[in-house]
Amino acid sequence: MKKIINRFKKNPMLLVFLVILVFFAPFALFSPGESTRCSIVTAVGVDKLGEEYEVSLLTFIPTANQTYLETNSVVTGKGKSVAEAISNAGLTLGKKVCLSHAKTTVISTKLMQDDIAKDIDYLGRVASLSENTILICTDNPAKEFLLAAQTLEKDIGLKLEELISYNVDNVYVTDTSVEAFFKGYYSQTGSSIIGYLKLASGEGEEKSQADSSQGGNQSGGGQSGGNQNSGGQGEESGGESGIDAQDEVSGYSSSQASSGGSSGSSSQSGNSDKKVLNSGEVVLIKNGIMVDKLSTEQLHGINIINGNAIDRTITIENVTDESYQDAMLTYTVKNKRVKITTKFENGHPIFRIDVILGLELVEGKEGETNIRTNTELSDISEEVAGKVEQFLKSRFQDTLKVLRKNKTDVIGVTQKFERENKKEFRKFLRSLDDPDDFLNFMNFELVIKVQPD
Amino acid sequence: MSFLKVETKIQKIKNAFHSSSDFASRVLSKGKDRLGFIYLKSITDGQLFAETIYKPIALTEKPLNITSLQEDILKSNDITEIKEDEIVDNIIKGAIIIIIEGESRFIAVDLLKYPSRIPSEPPTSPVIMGPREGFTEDLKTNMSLMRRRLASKDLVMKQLKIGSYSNTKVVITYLHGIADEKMVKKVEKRLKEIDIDGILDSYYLVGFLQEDENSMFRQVGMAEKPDIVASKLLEGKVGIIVDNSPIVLTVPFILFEDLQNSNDYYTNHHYSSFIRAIRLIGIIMAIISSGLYLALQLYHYNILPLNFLITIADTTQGLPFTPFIEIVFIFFLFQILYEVSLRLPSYLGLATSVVGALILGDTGVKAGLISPPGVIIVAVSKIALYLVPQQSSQVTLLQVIFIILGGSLGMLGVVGGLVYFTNYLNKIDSYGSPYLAPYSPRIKNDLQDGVFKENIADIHLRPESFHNKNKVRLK
Amino acid sequence: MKDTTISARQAGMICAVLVLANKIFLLPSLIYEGAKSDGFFVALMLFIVDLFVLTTFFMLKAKYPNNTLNYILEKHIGKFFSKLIYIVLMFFFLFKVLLTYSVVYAYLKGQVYQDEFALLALISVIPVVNHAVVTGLRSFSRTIELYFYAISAGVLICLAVALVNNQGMPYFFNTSVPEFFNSAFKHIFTFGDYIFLFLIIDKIKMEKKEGKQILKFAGIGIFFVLSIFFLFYSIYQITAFMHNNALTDILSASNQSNSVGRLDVIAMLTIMFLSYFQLSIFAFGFSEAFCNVFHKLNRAYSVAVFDVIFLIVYVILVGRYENMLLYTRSWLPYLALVTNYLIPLMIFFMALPKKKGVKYEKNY
Repeated sequence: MKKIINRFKKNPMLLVFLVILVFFAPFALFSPGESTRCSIVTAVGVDKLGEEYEVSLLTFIPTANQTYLETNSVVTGKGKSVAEAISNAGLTLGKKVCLSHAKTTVISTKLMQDDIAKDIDYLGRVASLSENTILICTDNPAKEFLLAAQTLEKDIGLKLEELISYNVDNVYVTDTSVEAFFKGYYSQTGSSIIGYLKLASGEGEEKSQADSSQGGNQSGGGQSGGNQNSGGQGEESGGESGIDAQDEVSGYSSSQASSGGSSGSSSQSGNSDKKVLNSGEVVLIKNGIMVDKLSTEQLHGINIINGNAIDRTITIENVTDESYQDAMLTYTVKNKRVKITTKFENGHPIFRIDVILGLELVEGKEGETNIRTNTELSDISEEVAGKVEQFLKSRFQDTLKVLRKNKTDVIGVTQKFERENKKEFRKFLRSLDDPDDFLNFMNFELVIKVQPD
Repeated sequence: MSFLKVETKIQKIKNAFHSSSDFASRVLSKGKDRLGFIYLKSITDGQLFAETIYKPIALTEKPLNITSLQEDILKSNDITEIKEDEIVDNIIKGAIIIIIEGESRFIAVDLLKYPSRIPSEPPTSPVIMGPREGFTEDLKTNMSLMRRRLASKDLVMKQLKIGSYSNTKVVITYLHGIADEKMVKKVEKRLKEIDIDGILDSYYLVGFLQEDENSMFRQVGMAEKPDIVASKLLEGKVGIIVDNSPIVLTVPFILFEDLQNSNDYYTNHHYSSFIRAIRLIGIIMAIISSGLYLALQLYHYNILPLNFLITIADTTQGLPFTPFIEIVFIFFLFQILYEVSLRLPSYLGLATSVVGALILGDTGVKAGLISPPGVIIVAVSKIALYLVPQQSSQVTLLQVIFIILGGSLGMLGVVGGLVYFTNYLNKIDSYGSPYLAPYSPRIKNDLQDGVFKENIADIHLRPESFHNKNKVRLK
Repeated sequence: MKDTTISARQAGMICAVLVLANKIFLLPSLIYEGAKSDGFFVALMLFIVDLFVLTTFFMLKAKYPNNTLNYILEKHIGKFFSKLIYIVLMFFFLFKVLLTYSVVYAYLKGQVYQDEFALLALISVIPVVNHAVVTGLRSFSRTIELYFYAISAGVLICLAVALVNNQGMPYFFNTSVPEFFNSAFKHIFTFGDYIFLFLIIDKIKMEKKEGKQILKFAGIGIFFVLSIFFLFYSIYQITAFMHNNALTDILSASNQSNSVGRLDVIAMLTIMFLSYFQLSIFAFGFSEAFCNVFHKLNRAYSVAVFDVIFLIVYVILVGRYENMLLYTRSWLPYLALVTNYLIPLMIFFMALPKKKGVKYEKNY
């Protein structure tokens, strides 16, 4: 005994190690891995049913297979608050709900008729949810959306987060995270922008496709190529696999129905044929309430003055110059430099945007025949430059109209003025009857310079 | 006693050896001169005895007395004149004692012959390009190997004898003018204080040479090749060669020495830097990867990237064991296989590796008993261990500790363990050398031979981590 | 006696770690509540004051290169007052440990460990910290030296990722002067760490020009903290109050949702290493002050006393980290006023060179 005590005296850390070994290791020895104790939630959907919240969780179900595909299931829970609903969903799952891997939050546009800040406040603050969680909205209930999303990977090998991150990087080109929403919400103007995805049902699909192509024609075919692509892929994949996935969900929900009780259920009410459709639209939010939806073209209008948004196509028609006769030319924006300056002239604020575009001709049609793209012939004539400028300006004006109408400053006008002409700008705001409506009293100067890439 | 008969004297000495069966004696009568020869058959060269001692004495015409033997007949041999009480010692050392009737003095001729092997490449430190000689069990051979590499009058070899029964010869070797005299004296003092029954291998001395005797970490360098020891002596260290051991000890010792390999000095220094970095990363991985994996799986799945998590969740789904038990199980499986493969003869070793790697690993996974990521993690940590074979025993212990820390305390435990052990190592002061030099504390000069090694032509000074007298290595 | 001195470089690294203490996790968002983005200037101002303390240290070191603080204090103000100062410092360091521990615990509980893990955290932290204190300044400053570059790399990676994500500037100059100073006062307890250097003044081996080393590393620490403040305020701007761990949050606020993955593991490891070192330093400060109050007791006793007091105060007084934060802003600033400004000021007067008779050189 003395020997043992001496040994511990010589090295007290041995005692600590023994304590760990005796008191902690046995618990750890028999504790299952965290992935079996906690659920892996990859997307969260928030709906409101009357006074209650319904939270749907797109949950990864581990399956002992060697394919390493995500097998997902949608589980819902109801409660008076979002946090309560989430924990109720945990009851259904039989596991703790951990949001740390949730990359997407979906809310339905119905929810946005009221201030959504209070609905998603929990999601903004909860520590386990990452700051860059994307916030998107959809017209259907969020649950339906997630149910449709879970078949995405099986159908076209696309994960919801991949689709959305593609959108964020290439279509919206602005941050549409929960964080960004709150940033806008707490800002002076209270306006923010979040991404929008559509759900198209089997029959409605063609209709919506027709819609979008029509819209594309009207606006001069300026729709982003990538957009149509991913949307198209979604449409091509048939309904069969959707049914497969549905079986799984129903199987799961039946097993939990007996234990579920008040906690909620995973519903599958007739949306097996619905598909997630990427329409490249965004939603404008003012003080937490959805005020308008921007179409792809209108979004493009905003992105004209966004230096990060490149690789867009610009199609102009009826070009007649020394090289072409009544041609339709499509250019891609290869690089872009944007410089924004603010100033006051006679007490009137001016928001000036200089955009320098580097364009590359990618496709051209002259009359009925196709012209091969000649890379050496990248010179841009005055005619073309003028047309491009006119095209972009009209787009920007269109968008500006919407922004003015809704009093939503999502292009950072306030920020820029606050930084550069704080005093004058505040004076200007005070002089207005409705300071919120300042966009209507502001002059925008868009100067576009076009050069070959 | 000098008036006793030769036979009586021989009998007396034979009794001292308890009539051991390898005790041999001859009596030669030539005229009135009677000579006795005694020796131990097991350690003396019988043929040499016949050729160089027995034959000359038998054929000589001269009178046989101490003087004539010493100065004439046996002159070419290694002869010493001894007194009676030195007889036993000399016999043990492998000498033949010549007894002349009527003389009180004796002659000892050194004819020691041990079975010894030729210097060959040691199994744990092979080189691709470079000297392949390794130490043998023979002290003389080892000393000659050292002399050959450092042909200088300043190479000092001090011989001691340790062990009341083994009487093992221990040689302290250092370079006079480079090694710190104080350190040499300290080593000598420590060795002289040892009062043990026997020293059978140099490792017996390690415990006595360490500053912190009870430590888990070895604080004495071990080398199997003369070129390594020579390079260490050139840095001002002290070498300890022990008879019967092919391992030479060096002090002071810092942890980084084991990360250096003799191969590094015989190849391009850019490549050696790369390899050293790999070795460092590998050894860190070997220590913590199993514990870290366990911590991630048990406590922190939220910080794993989603794709990685999905793979792990899929593969561990449906396993009968909890993660902790799984890792411990795989760990012990590997350790058992390792021990078995060490002990088994080489032709059976192949069989175990087939059974171990293929059958146990693959079938275990297929049967759903263990998960592939678990096998990979433990296997990687077990293989990375042998990047630094000298440290494998310590690292194995650390692996166990970190598995327990990671499993029971999570990441905080793993990081805490790292901080604790670094602190612990920093406390060790091996003969005035900081154990984690040259990085903790940073010794600028020694970084030249650190993870990123510089060209030998640019290293002008000896390492400052060790106390040495002569700083300049390259003028 | 065994050599227990540390090099100027190691002292500098201790400074850098001390500067990072508590300031890069929760502080930015706490200051934001009072001073908005001007919290950056609050930090800057408090750092500048701290740098004066550092200058005082150099002056004292120049005057008394080999003496202990105890000797210097007793020489100038007598035994009683010097003991009093040590007692105040003891409390100061005790609460620093409590604050650091509480903040780190809150972070780990929220983001790293999903469940309650109070016992687990205590058993992982206390033995390591105790061991560091017992092995002494020399070995744990060497440990800090070994890991310092890893920690710096961790912080730098966080800064670099944040810089890539950053697309704006913080809104500065939005607070009134009283608000600004009020919030500065509220948070002075989190600053003023250089007082630790005075405690170990005799153990720092410093050649004449090596003061630069200390300054260099202290500068690195301050640079890190200010950059984190700046980037945190510029990334989150008006939502800064919602995020209570600056180092992780500047990492995870990436626009590109997929490109970064879960890099916050880097921030997590950095925080863990940093907290171990900070806790060790503060606990050593406590132990050093304790040993100077009770001359007869050795380090092992100080560690035992520290553990007991720490556990009692933690369980009874603090419990939840919100309480600790409340104390930090309510009455601890008064303690900090003494330790951060009063004591250094006193030492400053002690460090003033004695007046010598004016000598005129002969001019021919």
